[in-house]
Amino acid sequence: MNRRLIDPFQATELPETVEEVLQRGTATCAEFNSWGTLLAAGGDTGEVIIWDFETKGVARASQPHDQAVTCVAWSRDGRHVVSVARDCTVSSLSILDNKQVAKVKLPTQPVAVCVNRNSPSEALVSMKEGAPILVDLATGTRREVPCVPSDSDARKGPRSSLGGAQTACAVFSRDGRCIYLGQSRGYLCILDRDSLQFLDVVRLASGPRISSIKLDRKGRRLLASCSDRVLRVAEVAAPSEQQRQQAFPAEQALSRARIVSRDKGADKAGLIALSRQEFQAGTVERSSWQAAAFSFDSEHVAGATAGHKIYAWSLHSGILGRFLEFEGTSDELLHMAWHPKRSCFLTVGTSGKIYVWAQVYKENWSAFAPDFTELEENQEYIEREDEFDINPRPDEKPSGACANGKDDEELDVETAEPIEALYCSSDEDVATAPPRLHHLPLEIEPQRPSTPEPDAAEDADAEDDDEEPDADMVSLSPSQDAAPGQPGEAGPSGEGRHKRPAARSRSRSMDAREMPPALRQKGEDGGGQHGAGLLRDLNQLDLPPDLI
Amino acid sequence: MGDQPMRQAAIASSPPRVGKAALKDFARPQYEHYRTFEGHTMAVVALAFSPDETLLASASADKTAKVWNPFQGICVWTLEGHTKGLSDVCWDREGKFLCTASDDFTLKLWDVRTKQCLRTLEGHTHHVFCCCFSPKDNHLVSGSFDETLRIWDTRTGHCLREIPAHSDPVTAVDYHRDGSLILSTSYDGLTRIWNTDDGKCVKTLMDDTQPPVVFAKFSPNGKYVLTASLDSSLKLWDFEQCKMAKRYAGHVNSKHCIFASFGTTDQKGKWIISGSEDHTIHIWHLNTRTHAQQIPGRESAEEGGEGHCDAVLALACHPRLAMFATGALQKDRTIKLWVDRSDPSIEPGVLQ
Repeated sequence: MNRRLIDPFQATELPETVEEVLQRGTATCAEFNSWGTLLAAGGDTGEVIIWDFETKGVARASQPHDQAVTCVAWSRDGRHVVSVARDCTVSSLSILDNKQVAKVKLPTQPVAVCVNRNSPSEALVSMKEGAPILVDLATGTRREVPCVPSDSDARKGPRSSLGGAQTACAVFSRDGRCIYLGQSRGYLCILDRDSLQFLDVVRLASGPRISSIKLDRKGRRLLASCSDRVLRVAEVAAPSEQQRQQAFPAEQALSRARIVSRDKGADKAGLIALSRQEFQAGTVERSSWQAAAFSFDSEHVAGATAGHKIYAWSLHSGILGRFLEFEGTSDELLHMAWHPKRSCFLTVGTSGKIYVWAQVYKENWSAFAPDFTELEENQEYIEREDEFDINPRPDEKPSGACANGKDDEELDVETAEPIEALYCSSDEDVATAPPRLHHLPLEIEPQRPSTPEPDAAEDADAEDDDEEPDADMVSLSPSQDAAPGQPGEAGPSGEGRHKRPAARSRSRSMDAREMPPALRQKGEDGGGQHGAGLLRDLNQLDLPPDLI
Repeated sequence: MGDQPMRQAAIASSPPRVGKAALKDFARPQYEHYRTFEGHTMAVVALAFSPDETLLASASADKTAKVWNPFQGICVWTLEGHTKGLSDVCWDREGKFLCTASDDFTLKLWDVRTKQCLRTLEGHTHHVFCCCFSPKDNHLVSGSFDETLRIWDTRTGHCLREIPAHSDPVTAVDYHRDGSLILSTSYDGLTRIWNTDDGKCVKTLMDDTQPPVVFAKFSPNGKYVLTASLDSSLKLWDFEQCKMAKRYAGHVNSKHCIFASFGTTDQKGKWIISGSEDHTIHIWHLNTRTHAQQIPGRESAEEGGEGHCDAVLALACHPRLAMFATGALQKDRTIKLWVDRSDPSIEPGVLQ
């Protein structure tokens, strides 16, 4: 709703500054759900914390892993968070009841995970070393995703393939029927998810290792972060049924790879077309990319270096739109994620803090006074001949009053549009999707009695900081704060904290207690004398005299 | 009320024959007295039906709030803990928690299942006058005589944001149905709309004469805003265009913060309902702005009849049935339920 009232140009401006810092434990990675209402953050002791991004408060916490979480991902319906950790496991968490629904052991260390949009129990895990693995979380079955074999592997035959397993990063396509693969030597592939056979292979001419790939929200572009410190964008197309039937196995991939470079121009022959734009952080400072992301509207591409410097370019013009540098004590960047709906992104530092970057809000003064308009520059005002005459012109109607003719128009106060915040335009198949979980039902844990609240919060923070990795600890939920004490009791819990207001109220006149103080309760004087009652109360409240 | 409904039925039976839409405008509600709850020892100032339709919460100047079962007519819980009179009460969207706003400068969050006070929200520096849960329940907004709005994290009880919203006491707050906007009104005569995410003002609605605005709420679809002001009028605004769309008058409202509501649960028609300081209750046709029904009050408690005998401030419409509840000031102290038995939404057996 608010979108229609907000300046559309301001809404798409790039973030400028750190707006907020989230800290609980030591975060290692973080990801938004599809609507940006909740944020899942993995921690270095294996915990996964769900933040309510509106209140920037912790909504859920759990401990699915024993070691540092390396990546988290949301299912499309927002009900599950899939996480991978250094303990070589992939875990799926149902966030509504805060229960772990699946945990599957992996052969080696995972670095990234992606959930199939159309079957939330299927996860694609990219490994630190070796081929990506397709994991069915419901059954625990694992399938290795084939990679393009290296030239030497192909020449030397099967002997070297033992140690020569290719390392690749992989993501699902938007419809979940394809897998995109980014690999060493610049191979970028598209595979059919069912047969795990190749549909198209391209090789970047300079042959850099592709260290990570990201798909934009519409599923039409891939952002590849390459080891030659260049971010490359490739347009991807969905394969037709015919193309699916012409899939080929990994052995042929090497020979069928098309070599592409941006000088050759757009090659529309295959499913992957390299865009002409490529992005790097200046020719002097050639730092490699730690993280990369599309902006929420896919108009910009952002890259972040380990030194916590963030570059954002316009995707179409290739112009650098924003350069941001983290100020303050050095905190190297681990991870970056863009909010799916807003011009706002977050970065995770090695200190475990999550930084929320947003625009600096410019006050819209005309919102405060309806007859006030803001001018871009000074204008010479030409007054009307009779503008400051005392007598108003007879034909002038008082502005603002509703035209009587229109007063009886039929108004519809009931028919509601679907709530924008909950549906994205690209979600055409809303009806078939399972019910979404865009926010968590409210649960309020009872407080420890007689402890002032701010202190309690600080205690909780301190505890979190000192926490030892503890395999037995299943839940880090906020209930921990209350655990040592008995469940908070209704009345008395507030007693200690009433001191300040009580002292103030005593300074007010005594009859405040005998009389209901607020204006809604002024009726005690009886029908004809409400006014007197009101007057007395207003005096008591020290309101400006003009009101009375 | 006596023969009042009968007389109205006679009028409704002869509408001009001009199509269905027009027929609806001439349809008349026949709200009649269903139940009276007595229990509060001082004025009843706010009422709210629970989202699951089974309970009714009332806030009173007697420092307590009560939860009633409207169909059995019993009080199921008295919320005690505030040290001063209450000004508002609201439910979360799942009916699990209640929030009360009090003149002791605090708000309290209550768990309906365990009947405990969970949190006391402190920070306002004057009477807290109004409160509302966000549609996602993760925060709530309160308005106060200290002229500010505060947004509170409901999970922790911390104040997330303080908005210096007005230059006079804030009289009403409401959330847009998608939670992205907050509505506030004040004695300063302004109705303002705020962006929930950053707490910035996005619109200001004002009248030429700027009478103090004492109540406001979004329409059920979030496209319009209904405001009540102390010039004894209710106004319906198209807030996107800052334009007043309708004005309802005929009741008396010059001193108190009287609630108003959209009556959209009836199948007969759409109403605007409000209490009045002359002890009556007014129901208008939403579109034609004409009076559809007026429930008479009584001069004093001794007088016979079923109306209120003091100014009717509190009002809450049932979320599904053609039913609403009203509460009145000090001389009356009762809560009354009104039902349109002729409406199809009141199925046999619903009222037991």
